[in-house]
Amino acid sequence: MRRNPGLWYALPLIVAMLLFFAAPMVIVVWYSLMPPRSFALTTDIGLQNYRSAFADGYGRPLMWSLLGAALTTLITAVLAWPTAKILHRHTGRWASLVTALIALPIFISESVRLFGLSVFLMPGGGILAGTLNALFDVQIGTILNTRLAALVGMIYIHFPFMLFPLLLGVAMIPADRIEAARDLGASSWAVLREVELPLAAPGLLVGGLLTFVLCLGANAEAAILGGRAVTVITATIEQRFNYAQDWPMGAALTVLVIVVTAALVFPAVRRIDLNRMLRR
Amino acid sequence: MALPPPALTLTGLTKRFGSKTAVDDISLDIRDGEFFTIVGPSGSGKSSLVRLLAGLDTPTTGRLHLRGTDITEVPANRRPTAMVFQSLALFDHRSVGQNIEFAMKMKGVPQAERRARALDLLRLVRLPEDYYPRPVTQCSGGERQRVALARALGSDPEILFFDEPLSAIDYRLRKTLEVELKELHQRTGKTFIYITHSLEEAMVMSDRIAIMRTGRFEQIGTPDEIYRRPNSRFVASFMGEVNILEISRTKGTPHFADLDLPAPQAPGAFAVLRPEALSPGAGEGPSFDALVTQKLMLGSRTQFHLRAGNTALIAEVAAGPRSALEVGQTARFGFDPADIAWVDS
Amino acid sequence: MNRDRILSQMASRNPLRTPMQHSVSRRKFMQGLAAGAAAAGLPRAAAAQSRPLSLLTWDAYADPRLLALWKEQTGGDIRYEIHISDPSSVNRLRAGETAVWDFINVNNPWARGEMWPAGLIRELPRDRFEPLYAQMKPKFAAPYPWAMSEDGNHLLGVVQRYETFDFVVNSDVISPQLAKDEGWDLFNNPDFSGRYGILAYEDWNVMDICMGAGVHPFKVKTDEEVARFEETAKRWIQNAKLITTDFVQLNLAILNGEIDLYFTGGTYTTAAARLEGVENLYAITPNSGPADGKGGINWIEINSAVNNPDPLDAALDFLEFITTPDAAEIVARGNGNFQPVAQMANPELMSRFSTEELAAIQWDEFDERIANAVEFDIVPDYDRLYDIYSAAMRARG
Repeated sequence: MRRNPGLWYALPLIVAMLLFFAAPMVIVVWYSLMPPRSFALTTDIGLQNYRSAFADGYGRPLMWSLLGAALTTLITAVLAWPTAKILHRHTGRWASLVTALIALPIFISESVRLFGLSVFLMPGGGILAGTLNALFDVQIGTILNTRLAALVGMIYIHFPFMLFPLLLGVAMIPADRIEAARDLGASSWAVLREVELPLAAPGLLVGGLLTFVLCLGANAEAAILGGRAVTVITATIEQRFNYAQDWPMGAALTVLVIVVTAALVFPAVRRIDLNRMLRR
Repeated sequence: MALPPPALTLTGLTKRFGSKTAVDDISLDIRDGEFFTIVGPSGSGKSSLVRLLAGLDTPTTGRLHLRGTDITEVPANRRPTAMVFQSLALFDHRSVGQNIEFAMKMKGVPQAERRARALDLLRLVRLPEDYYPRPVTQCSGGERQRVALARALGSDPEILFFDEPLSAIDYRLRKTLEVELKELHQRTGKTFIYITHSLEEAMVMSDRIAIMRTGRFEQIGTPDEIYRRPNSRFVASFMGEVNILEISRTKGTPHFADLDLPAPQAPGAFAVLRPEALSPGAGEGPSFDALVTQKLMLGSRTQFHLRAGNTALIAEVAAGPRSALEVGQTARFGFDPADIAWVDS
Repeated sequence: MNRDRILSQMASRNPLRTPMQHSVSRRKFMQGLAAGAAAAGLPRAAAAQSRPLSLLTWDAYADPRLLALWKEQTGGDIRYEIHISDPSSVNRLRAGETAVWDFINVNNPWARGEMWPAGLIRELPRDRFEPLYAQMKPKFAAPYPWAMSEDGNHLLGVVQRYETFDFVVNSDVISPQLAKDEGWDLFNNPDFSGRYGILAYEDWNVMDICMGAGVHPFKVKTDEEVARFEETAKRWIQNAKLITTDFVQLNLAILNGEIDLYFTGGTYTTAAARLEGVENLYAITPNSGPADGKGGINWIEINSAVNNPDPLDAALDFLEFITTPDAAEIVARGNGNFQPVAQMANPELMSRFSTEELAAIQWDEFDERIANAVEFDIVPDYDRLYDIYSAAMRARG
């Protein structure tokens, strides 16, 4: 021990990680190998839950979750990029106010915000429909209780998680590199592709990962705005644990989601140079 | 026979930022193939001016013509010009080769052709070919300068702009690069427009020099003209150590106010006298007694800091018997009025 | 205007206090962990004295007036947490939170069917608690089966709130009389395809789909019956306009004209809105159905003492306390909602409710609805049916 003080100092963290990270994971994996609808951890292990996971239509909710996460990540990135550029250009002035306004909702319960959006989108007396009707005599329907509404909710909720890492990423693009590229004949599109995106890539990657992983675990958007027009994997897992009282199956689905997430996330994480992000 | 149009014509070029005027109504012709240097202290507007020329900013008023074609509204990426930035602005996420090929890639030049040309450019800026795949982050300061230069040349521009690219380089390397740049200019025959705060740097390389001050050109001329005939104390002082003597006309005949010497023919308000024009011993011209307060050996020359009355002066003498004076001695110093450059302000 | 009332109800609602199954659950879980950690950290003796009575409960029992009344009468403190759902709370007890809680209230089948066999609740002294049943509506006469263990030997809890819970219609669109006569076939009627919502109280949905498929929910199913259930489940879930765990959303959807009816629902989901004057939200219990001729389902809340390794006497005191008229009145009106309680047999308690309140819970029909309903029971083949139900949910999209 004495020869390796680093290990000694890291010990509390290692113990904490084992206790709060590794141990629950082991329990979840163990449960996933138990017979369906049992509550005890025994040595009677088997793969029947995983077989069910592939046989009983669980692929569909997983597919929806992945698709929703991918679409949300893509769309929030497309929306957050110009926002980040504008905020970065105007640093200090009204930008800090706008940034605060975008950040503020994070401190409000997600359900409350989604209910707010639900009231906004409601037909008839909803805020949007009612206002359009009262002011312009325009009658509109609603996207509430559709897949589109769930996606809109996901974008609305996760936008800040994309924006703030991206702000950091955009701040990593020195202005003179953009000018140099333009001076050398690059169109706006080429500047974006050749200079801005590569230089902001760490921020984009962090924002993308955050958004994607959070969206994979998202449930409330499909429940509150989507009217369950889609069933996401999180809702399915929750069903298994709660009303089905089938912990092993819930655990097996959880493990599958973790595996899929890890397969997507780890290659991306390896490309992030945190040092470079923090130095600037 | 009509003269070919100038490479670049500036007409009443003005750039204002709010209430501040960075570039103030500048008109100028820059000849094809000229090495034109704009010298000025920081804040003089020289960087703002070159950004207008490169198309990175648009002028508030005024026009800009390239070989007779109005390019005032043409954005930087569509101008046949290229800039070497003060920061170099290299693409650190790309290799040396990719940096140099950037402009060619933007033009859609095929890969093989790009590579061949990039290797040519590496040779031109005296970098080994095996630097081609190297990340630019692994290059030294001087190598990065050369990559930046090659990258700018890679767009085969009609005009190259340089925005103080050597300001952060140590003295010896800077001297080397200055010479190389001048050779490069001669070899390529392109028009170079160079920005610097160092008149010394400008003198080495330029065909013509413009001295810039608060948004305007104080003086434009060849290095020799600027050196011998500065038209203001500002320009004169830019050349480093120089004696500036005020002419007083209160006692009837003009005289050098501080030295109490008559100045029979005084066409200006100030006399600018270079240190080497002031020498020990009384000649045919005016002379005065001065106390040596400092003696500095500059290799082949010796510099004396003098005091005559309340005036501090500097004289430079070639090493030899005339430089035998020591600190504390008082001696007579004189100059030839023909060596004086007269300025009014 | 009705819509405004519902909107204000929605706006003033604290999402932590309504049964919702999403996002809040993680926070609640963390609170539970923290509570568990805090309890575990205390020395035993000290814990016994300083620990407040801890309720894992539906929101009526967390009404501040009830807690104040308890404090006034006993000087004791109460800590509570509001359920997300019956099964999630049973999960928490299974996961070791019996050391955290003293009191739990869930629907009748859970006490007898799950918590007692799993050792999560403890038995109540019959001599002390059986007399309380004598003061209730006659149907609860002791021994009331749902309050007893399967073998009938152990008293597991105290009955209080109860109601039928079937479906809700917009009485401006569908007359209540027609709805009662048609019963669950309304949801089989193609005219209402895309015109109804589902309140995803999932165990209830499974029972309702049984009813709609003409299957007795509480009897063992034949394969043919399961096939009918499956067909009905797929069709009902596919044709639903929206599915949510939030009944206010469904009430709003009725007011906005998006839907005309929804299941599962009852006075539990409509009373507060009706009390605000939204009288076209109308709870329906069918006049007939496949469950021994009945189509309604009657839930009974069982209040039980958690089998805490460090039992508090106050837990039993609290179970008795809630049946007193003052406390029962608060529970009936708990947190802005309004629900019938078993103690309404007591005229003194009845006299405290206004005509408007009784209209809100459709009290004039109450006995009729209870009579047309079977009691909430364990669904045999539940796992099989639930898997079909949840597969249909996944297949919806």
